[in-house]
Amino acid sequence: MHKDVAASSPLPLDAVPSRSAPIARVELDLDERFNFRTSVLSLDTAGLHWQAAGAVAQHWPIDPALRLTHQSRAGAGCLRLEGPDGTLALWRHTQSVNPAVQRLRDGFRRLLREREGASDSVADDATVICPVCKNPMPAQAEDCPHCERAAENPPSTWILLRLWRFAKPYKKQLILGFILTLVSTFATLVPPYITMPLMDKVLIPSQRGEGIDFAVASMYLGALLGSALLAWALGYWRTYILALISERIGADLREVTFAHLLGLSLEYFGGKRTGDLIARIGAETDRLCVFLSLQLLDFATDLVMIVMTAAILVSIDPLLALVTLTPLPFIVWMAYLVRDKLRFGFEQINRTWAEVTNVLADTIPGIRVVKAFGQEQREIRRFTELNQKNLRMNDRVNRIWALFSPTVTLLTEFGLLIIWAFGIWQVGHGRVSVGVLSAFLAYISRFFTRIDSMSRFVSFTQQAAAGAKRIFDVLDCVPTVPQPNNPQPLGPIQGRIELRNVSFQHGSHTVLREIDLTIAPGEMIGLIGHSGSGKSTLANLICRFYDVSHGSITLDGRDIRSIGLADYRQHIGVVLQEPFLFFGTIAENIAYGRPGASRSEIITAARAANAHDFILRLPLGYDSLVGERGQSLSGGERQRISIARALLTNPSILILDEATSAVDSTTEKEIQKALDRLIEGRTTIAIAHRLSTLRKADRLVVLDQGLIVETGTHEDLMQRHGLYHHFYMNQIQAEEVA
Amino acid sequence: MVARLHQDANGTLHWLDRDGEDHAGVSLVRAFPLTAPDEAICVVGVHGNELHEFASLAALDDEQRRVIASALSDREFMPVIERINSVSRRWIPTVWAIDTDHGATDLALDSEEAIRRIDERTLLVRDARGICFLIKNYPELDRRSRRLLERFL
Ligand SMILES: Nc1ncnc2c1ncn2[C@@H]1O[C@H](COP(=O)(O)OP(=O)(O)O)[C@@H](O)[C@H]1O
Ligand SMILES: [Mg+2]
Repeated sequence: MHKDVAASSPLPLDAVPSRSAPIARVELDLDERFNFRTSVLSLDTAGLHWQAAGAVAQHWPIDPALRLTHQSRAGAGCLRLEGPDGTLALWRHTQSVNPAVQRLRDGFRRLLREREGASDSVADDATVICPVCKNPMPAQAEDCPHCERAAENPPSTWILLRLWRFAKPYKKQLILGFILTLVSTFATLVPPYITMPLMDKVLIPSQRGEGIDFAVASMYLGALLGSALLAWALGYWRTYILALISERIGADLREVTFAHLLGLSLEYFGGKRTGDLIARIGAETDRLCVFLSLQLLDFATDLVMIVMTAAILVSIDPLLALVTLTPLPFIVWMAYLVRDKLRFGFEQINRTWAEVTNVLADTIPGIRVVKAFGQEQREIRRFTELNQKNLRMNDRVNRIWALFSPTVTLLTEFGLLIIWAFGIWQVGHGRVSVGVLSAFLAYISRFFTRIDSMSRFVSFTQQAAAGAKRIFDVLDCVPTVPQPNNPQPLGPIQGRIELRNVSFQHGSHTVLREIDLTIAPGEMIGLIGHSGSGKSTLANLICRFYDVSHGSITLDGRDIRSIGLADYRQHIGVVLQEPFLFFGTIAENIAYGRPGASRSEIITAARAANAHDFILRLPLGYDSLVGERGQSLSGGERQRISIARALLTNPSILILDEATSAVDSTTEKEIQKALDRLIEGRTTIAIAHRLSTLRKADRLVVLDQGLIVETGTHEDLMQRHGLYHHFYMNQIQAEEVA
Repeated sequence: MVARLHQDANGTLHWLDRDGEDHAGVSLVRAFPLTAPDEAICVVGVHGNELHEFASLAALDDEQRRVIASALSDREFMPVIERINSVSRRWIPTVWAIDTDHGATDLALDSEEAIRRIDERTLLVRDARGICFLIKNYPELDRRSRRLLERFL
């Protein structure tokens, strides 16, 4: 296409300056009116080139008067080239090419800077962050290698092999279990074999009137009894060992998944539903455990049994064996046919099940809202609908399944019929003895019941594969806030925080832009701004819940990305608007950040947080249970406990994110006293709606739409008559009305 | 001036603080009634404000200890279960016939959350009336009581 366009281009070739290697190249996938049409935009040192199918190629040289801006909204992005007289060109594209477009824009700006002589190109521009997984990408790569890896894994039964990682520690026991399986299965195959001599050497001669040789008969009967007992004992040992192992594998899987989940970054949890995660770690691991301990075990036994039986049959009479095994290929073929349908069905069932759990995880914590708005019936309906969906999904799978099993039985009946017919014919011609035929019949009935149970395994594997996929989905996820390799320990810190040219994006939405801020040790900064202006996001960046998209944050001159996460966060105390208490006693909740704290330290922290008196009023004092999420306490009480929690860890850096917004002004005064004590001597970033809360701040920083618009003391900002002045006046008025 | 706790003839508890001020009608509260009953006993004024904390009883003289013990015994009621004689049913809801250090009584158990494990040896049982019963040294109960109890744990 590229060549065609060039050929049909009316421009003489020399109008386009000779091309150097492109710095960036984007295949745009939308046209100006959002129609899906492709065109190519590329950048090299000569400038921008654009070519669309059936259109004239266009070229713009690098010119300091040009500006290239990029915006994205509602899934589509827009790149705009502006000159002094307005927009020169406009290119639209979908999110899928966003990284390439950003690379092109950054490259264009760099070229402009170089052209202007300012060669101090900012190094940060060179690193591109994948918009999907937020991992840094190689500069010239089109697709993020992290995301690609995830896309490469289509769900398949092979995923079960990855469970080997969890089975490895139990290799020895597994081998023992397998040997036991072989031997015990072999023992169960002895009795039919003995029917052969029992027939031919004992029963048939007696029918001929030769009398029964009781010594021989009792020897064979003894062998029957012995093999049955042996099979029983070995079977018991094997089942026990393998069940033990698989329970351990299941437990390991659960622990590893949970530990991995907690290691994932906040961003992951933002996009996940609680119920879904609970279902994965609870139900899915359990299902895998059942699969490993029962179903896989049965399958292995069946397989061994079938192979051994086939071998024995062939060794007795190859022709008869061949006839006997004819239905087998049909059964394998059928299993193959239904496999995909089943797996798809099971995956859907798992997902629906997770949705059912989601309703529970939503409704039970939100029960007060549900009741207050009288929405019980609605929630019940939501639950019922999903439950019915679950039922329908199961019905669908069962429909396939129900047909499968009887069909296998039918085929086995056919098999028996064939052997009877062929066997009688063979016996009639004196080619096989009655004993051999009866042994075949005894083997074959076992054989086919095994095939029947083995075919059930098709369904179990698909079920397990679907579960394993959902678990490995969690395990394959890498934290977007990575731990540095071999971080230097932090040691005692001063608490100087510097943000340099910090920008941050949620997906394609830019939340913070070009933030420059230095916070001195022990300084208190008040963050002010409209709701949604990015205050909490800034606090989250300082906590390193997310990593900056551009720029850097340093603590005492060290980039926080080079500090171990736990080491770093140990120095940070956070008090949030919605304090979260765990199920447990008050004392345990206060000591959450420092489980080893002594009782007197807990009391001291509670006193400083103004919580001591109300705790003493509770019937069991510090030993009182707070209930799940602290239900039994009021908002202000919960908040004071969370302040005590932050106090007890004695952090050097303190972040207060609207710590007093959820309480009335009397309670706020109580909490404020506690906070004032908490703030003393610590680097503090306080976010508040009520400006009075920030009266102790050394400096106020006003954010608007992700930019710092004003910085200074209360007096400075009042004189400036800017946004802060506006906020302040509004609040004074509101208070007067009240 | 040494701060002191004393009880007057009417049984009212007074806290005489270091500055010689007399606070009448104070009460004593254990901060950790279950996990450390003898640590951190707080003197609380009539408005619920803390006036003093006895960090440990060991540092006090006998007289003070006696006052504290008598004041606490006046306000605390947490019978200790010594024996479970019978249970009406082996599942909740159920009624236990028990012996306590305050005498024999019936304990109606109406929810699974009513039994709370404090630590390895201690259990707290809240009955339907709201009374908290304590089981101290649970592994050392007699065998029969332990067997009955284990069904509910
Ligand atoms: N997890 C998220 N995903 C996408 N956008 C987010 C997320 N969290 C916050 N935002 C957006 O970032 C902006 C700033 O949010 P925030 O920092 O919470 O504002 P505030 O100043 O009120 O604390 C808002 O527009 C919000 O919609
Ligand atoms: Mg916020």
